Amino acid sequence: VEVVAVTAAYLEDVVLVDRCLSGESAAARELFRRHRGRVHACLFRVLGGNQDMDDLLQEAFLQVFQSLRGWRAEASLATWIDRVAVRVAYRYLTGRKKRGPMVELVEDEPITGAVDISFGATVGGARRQLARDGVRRLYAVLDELSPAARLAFTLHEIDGRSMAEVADIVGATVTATKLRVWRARRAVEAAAAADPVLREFVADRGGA
Amino acid sequence: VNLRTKVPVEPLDEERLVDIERAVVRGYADALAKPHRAPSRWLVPALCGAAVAAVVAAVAVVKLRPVREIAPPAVAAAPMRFAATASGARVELGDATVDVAPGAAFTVTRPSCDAAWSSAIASCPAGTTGVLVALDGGTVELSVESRTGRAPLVVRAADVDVVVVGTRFTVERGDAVTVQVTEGVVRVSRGGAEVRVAAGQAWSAPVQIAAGAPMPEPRPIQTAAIAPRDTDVGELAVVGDDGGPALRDRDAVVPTAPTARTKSTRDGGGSGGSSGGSGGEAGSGSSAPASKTAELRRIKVKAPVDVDGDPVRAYTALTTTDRRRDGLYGLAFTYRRLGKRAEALRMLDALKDAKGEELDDVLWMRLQILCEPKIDSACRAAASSYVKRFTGNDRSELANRIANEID
Repeated sequence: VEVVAVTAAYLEDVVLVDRCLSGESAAARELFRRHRGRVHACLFRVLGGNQDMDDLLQEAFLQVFQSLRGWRAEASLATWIDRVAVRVAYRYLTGRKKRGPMVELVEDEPITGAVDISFGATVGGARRQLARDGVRRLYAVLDELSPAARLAFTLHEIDGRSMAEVADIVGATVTATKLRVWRARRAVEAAAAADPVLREFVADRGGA
Repeated sequence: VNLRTKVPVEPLDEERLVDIERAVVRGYADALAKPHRAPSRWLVPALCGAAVAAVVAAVAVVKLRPVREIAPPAVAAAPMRFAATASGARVELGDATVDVAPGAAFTVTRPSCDAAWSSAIASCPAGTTGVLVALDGGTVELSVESRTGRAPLVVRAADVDVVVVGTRFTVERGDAVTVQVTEGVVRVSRGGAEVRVAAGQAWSAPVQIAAGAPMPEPRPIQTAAIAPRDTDVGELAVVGDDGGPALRDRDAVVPTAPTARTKSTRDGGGSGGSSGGSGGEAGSGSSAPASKTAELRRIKVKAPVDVDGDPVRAYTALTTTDRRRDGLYGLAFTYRRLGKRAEALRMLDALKDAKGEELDDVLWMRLQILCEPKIDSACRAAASSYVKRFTGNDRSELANRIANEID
């Protein structure tokens, strides 16, 4: 038997997957609980607030179990699961392009010019409102992008992953990934130039 | 463009998460049974699929090979050897935790119950697998959930098999094999002979023994083989700077909050999970003129709190319902880990006042605490109250079996 220097987390993954594959549903539950937060955050950042989120999260994990035998324990389980989740997001985005855009349920109030700090509202409230509007407008721009560009951009710029990691997750070269991120960034900047709310949101360094 | 941290992730509420989890666990067996798809490289083929397919077809004609079967993962069958570094390690084997002392090493396999893999195992249903932890050397401490309804777990050191009943114990393999039990009971089996080693007892025998040598009897523990890790948690309820009880190290020891978190938690601003610090912060911040309740709370915080006398009352007096629930659950969890069953049960009792007694995790923990030492009437009562509330999952199946078990 070969002894390899590995982290405890890695061993846990290996054992957990083994238990899942041997049909222990408690292990499946544990795998879900361990990774649900990160997968949900990843899907949310790629797709934005979404009424199909529950289904997508469920679908992502079912896909994980369907492909679990293919995990070779060479990549970290987390990265591998993210790859499966991103694939689900990609399919959702391409499917949505065919189905047509979703109906926006939230009423979009027209905001032009500077943000109005009205009587009684606090600066914090205005900032939150700006953040909400900014997010909505940002994802409206992202809706216009190709799914591949959107994935690369959101995973890198919003989810905070390195170019190499994004390339690994989407299965593209680093150069292609950089190009997609650059294209998407240009589209966002062009939209921000025409939209003061988006401009302020993108430029605001104070954070939400 | 500067977007990191600007897109806050809207959390899914617990109810939806529970629904999703149920659906995932329900669909998991079917998903496993389906043939899995080829991994990762899925964007590139969309662009150059046709060209690649043509090349592949040409190659296939020249060098015809059957489609490669996807082999089952190596992890399922092959033994895994774990070796601790100089600072030791902790390995989670699902429902068992193995603390590995520096220098120790062991191999884990899942032997099939179709073949007899340990003479010490009484029941291991055919078609299932057990867990065999073969200790190569050094000391390991195991903390293991009750094996009722679970795969049998055996620790093997040389020719000594330690059969786990549901407990916490250490096994050391050097010139001698030493077993120390801190909680519950294990059975030690060697060459057909067997002794039971209960909590507070140790058993030791040299690795080299003459054939037919008598099986040593257990004796009281002299010194612990590994200092239990949980001791650094210290006392659980300590007085905060402002006089209120603070939950020290809470985040470090509490894995998950109980399954329901009401909407008011989120609306209320104080996210119960992470803010289990001083009780004094409750009510501060939000509205400018402090409300009567907030003021009252602040006065209470300043008043001396007799934490040693009754920590639960002191704690519940100082916290909101939601936070109280999280806190009490955390305390119950930690007490259980420390082996203080009575204290843990008291925390669960206190949860009743916080309207948390009906939660899945709470009922389940009560069942675990009561059923771990032995299956008696209290344990059965806990099991049947769990079954009354929840059905159709693994836990309820096990609870049902416990509730209906005949002596």
